[in-house]
Amino acid sequence: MPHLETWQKLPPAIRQHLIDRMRDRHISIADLNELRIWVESHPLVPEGEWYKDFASFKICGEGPYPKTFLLSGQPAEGESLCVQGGRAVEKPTVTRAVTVAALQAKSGDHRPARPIRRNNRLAQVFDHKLMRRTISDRNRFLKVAERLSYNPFER
Amino acid sequence: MYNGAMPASHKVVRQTVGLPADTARQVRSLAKQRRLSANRVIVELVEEGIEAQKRKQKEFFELAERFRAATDPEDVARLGDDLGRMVFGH
Repeated sequence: MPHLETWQKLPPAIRQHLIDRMRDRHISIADLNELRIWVESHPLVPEGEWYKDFASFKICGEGPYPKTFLLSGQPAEGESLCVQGGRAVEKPTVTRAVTVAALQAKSGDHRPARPIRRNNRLAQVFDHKLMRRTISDRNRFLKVAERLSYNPFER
Repeated sequence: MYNGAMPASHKVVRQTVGLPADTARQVRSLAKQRRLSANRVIVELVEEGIEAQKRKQKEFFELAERFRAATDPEDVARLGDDLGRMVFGH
């Protein structure tokens, strides 16, 4: 997993685009500060597409390059990240969505995933046990689901 | 003994912190140079670090406000580059 590139090493076109996006007043300065603090922790990012949610915006990137800011509500592609101990790992809530989607794809079920409520027992187990883990732990989710007889496709 | 009259800032909390070997060596060296205990040096460095973080944060907010308020394209480009460097590191 690469580290995020520093400003000077970003291609000029990306730098200019990010400058333009940072002018958007829908992007809160306090959230930009959170991004600064995150970048200071020298996070590791996936090789492919990723994004990280900072409330008023999402920073989207590919490999070591941050590419753009999306406003909250705009859908982002790739792995979702959150910070734990300076390492970038996925956010548990999004992990659940990704995992359910993966399970659906595996089973050939293409219906939209059933939303998982915060008070759902599986969601709690997943939060506590898997929140520190990476996207490669989808199978653990499946095992927990099996143990609790939880069907993610159930309506 | 803490009797309740002591200011909270003087209250000492004992905490075990792991330092990288090289950092620990530098702390010992600084302590020796300044004839202070390693504990005292660590406390000073942490306090200075916290102050530096606060200053950096203040600078960031001021720069971001100036960047958003700027109208001259040259100022926007210069301040934007400064802000980008501050956010994404240099």
